[in-house]
Amino acid sequence: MIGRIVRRMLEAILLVFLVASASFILIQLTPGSPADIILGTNATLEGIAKINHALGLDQPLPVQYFNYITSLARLDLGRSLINNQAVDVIVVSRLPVTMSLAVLATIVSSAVGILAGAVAATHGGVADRVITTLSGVGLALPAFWVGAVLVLLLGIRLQLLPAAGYTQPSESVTEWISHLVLPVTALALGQVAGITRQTRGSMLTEAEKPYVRALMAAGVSRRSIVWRHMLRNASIPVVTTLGLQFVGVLGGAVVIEYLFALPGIGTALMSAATTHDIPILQGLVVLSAVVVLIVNLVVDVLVVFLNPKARRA
Amino acid sequence: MADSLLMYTPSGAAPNFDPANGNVNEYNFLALVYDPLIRRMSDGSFQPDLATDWSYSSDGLTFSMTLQSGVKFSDGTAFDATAVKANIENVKNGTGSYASQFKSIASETVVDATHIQLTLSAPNPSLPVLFSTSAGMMASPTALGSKDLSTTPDGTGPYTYDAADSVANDTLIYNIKDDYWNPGHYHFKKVTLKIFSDETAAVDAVASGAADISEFSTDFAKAKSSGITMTGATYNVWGLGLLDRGGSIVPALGNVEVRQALNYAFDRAGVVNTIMQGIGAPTTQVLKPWMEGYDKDLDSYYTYDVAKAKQMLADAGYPNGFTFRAVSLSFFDVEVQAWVGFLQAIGVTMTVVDVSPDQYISSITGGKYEAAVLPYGALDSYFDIGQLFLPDSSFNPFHSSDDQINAWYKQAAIASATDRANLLKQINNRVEKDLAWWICVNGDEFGYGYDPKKVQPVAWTGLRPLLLYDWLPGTGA
Repeated sequence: MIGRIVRRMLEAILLVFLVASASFILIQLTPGSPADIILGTNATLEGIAKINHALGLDQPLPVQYFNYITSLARLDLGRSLINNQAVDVIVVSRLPVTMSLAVLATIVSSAVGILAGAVAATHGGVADRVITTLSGVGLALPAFWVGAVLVLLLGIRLQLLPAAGYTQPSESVTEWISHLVLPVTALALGQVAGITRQTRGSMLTEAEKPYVRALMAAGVSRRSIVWRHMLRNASIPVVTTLGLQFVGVLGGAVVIEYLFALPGIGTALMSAATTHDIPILQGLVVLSAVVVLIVNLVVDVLVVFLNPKARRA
Repeated sequence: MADSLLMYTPSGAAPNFDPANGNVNEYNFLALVYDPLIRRMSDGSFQPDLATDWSYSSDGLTFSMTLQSGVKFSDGTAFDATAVKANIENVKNGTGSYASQFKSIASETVVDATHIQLTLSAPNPSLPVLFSTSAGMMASPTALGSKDLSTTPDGTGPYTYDAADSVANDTLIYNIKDDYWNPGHYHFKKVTLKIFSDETAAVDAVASGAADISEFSTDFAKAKSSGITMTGATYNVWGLGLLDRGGSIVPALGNVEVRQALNYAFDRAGVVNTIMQGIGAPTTQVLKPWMEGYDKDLDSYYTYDVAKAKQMLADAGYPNGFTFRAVSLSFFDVEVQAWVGFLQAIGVTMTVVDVSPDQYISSITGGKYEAAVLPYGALDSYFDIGQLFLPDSSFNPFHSSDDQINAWYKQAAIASATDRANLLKQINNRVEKDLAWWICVNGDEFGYGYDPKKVQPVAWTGLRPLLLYDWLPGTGA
């Protein structure tokens, strides 16, 4: 297992390098310059050329690429072209916001989804039909729409929860939580539906397996069979789904951060894209790739832990 | 003094704390930590700040300032004429948006610690306006040239920037200084400026009480219909700049009768009533009603008359119309597509080329396109005419030149206030009536939504955006 983890980490380093190179090429292919933004209505060609020279943007592409890759190897993500802010400072201040959103959404969606899926599979009948129908509705509703409705209803009309903004947990934990309730709900709703269906399907499959009948024949309680034995075995595909969904949640967080004015990686990415702030763009793309790779590694380890066959593979 | 203020403010990008690199969108971020040489009030008047007095010589080629004494920067360095000289040089030699406007300052002479004289290469009556912008904000001379200044301000301003509690490029927190040398302008102990990209989130923030103030520009109508308390004024004049006046790319645009004909095709009142939902006003000039050179009669010069437009085109030799391109941004489309329709009705095809925000201005100033959609926010008539209609104006990429305009502009540089206003009015009329260089359609509204219990704005005509010292504690404070 250790060897597997080491191999995956080495593959991850190669993948990060490939992602970094691809993002460099793609960004260079897009027209525009941060000089336009810096100069505003005084953006003459002469002024833009002067800024591009000052920022090193007029250097040959291989030189810019070499400088970028060697900086990355030193874990130096560079500085904003607009305001000289260090990219790692931006990452450190914004990553916790996005991760709070993504992790909380995943915890909520997995807790609710697994419970709902297990109940649907084991109770059947009306409970199953209601849960399955609701999960279908949940899958159909886009997160940004759900977010907008929640804002209107709970944030503006009833003023029960903040409609926008973010409070650091160091400032006030209750305010931090209250600012995340609506965006986490918007993000988690679609995920709950997916996990519910996956859990239901896996549990139904487990229910048909001989070991379940053997446990029942041995007099083990139904509760123990469902929650100790069946759920553990059913959770392997669920964990894999959770891993994929977490990556999707990170992508969905961009829209939700925009809607709720959360200072996360998503809003930073969008701002950097419109202002052509290349170091921030490249830094956040690489960061996102690293997060996805870490999540995949964690999922792999969990699967191995849950499935003894995988350990022997 | 009220405890705190939370304001949502749009920004093209996060602020750079080096005043030489600031632009109009970043003024509030900088004004909390820096003082300008001259303070411009909401009614357009100028008040002393770090400069206590200023004047021009009779030939307009020397600008003298008397400076405050006893003021220090955050790092303890004294503010004096040497610091002013260093800051002006920093702007002139830098790559910020105001560098080109400081070019008329040929040299700075330090007379003594509290007096400085600027020698100009050409008369420039807009220096008080310039020195009231971020370019006139004074940073410590020991910090100038350091890259740290971009993220760590060093000024004489009323607040200190709390980097530890701020979120980089998103939420900036400032705390009032107890020993500020010029108290009385600001009324909140703590100010939080939050940068937002989407006005929907800003409307929600004010409506739900999460924010005290927010700025609105692109979605003013929507913000107004949300029920929050608003204050607004005309800010941008939406116009189609006909840049290729010499006809080098599109020969038709080189014909003044063609350009005049196009003006009659626009249903300006219709744009305001339907597309802008009643927000703003029709106009045919780039200057706003309270500005020097504005001519009320000019607004009714071009009526909406499709038949007349078609006849004028035919008389000019274009009975079947012609085609031209206009560079634009995609979020202007709602209005711009109406313009396409107006021109189609007279047989003219305007092909709209949408570019990204980080290419937009340079696409206009670079002379790539024969026309440009440009919502222009004029703030000072002399300066703005200089930016639009002179041979070397940045928004005149084909260098169109008119001897009459050039002569009047030169005279305006050293004229009295009354004479200058008349000269600028003459230029305004000539640009629109005789030359038809710029088709102005409507003035939009820019403004603020706010919680009146928390804040109240001072009286405002829209001469310039409301700045933080224009906000007073509200009725519930």
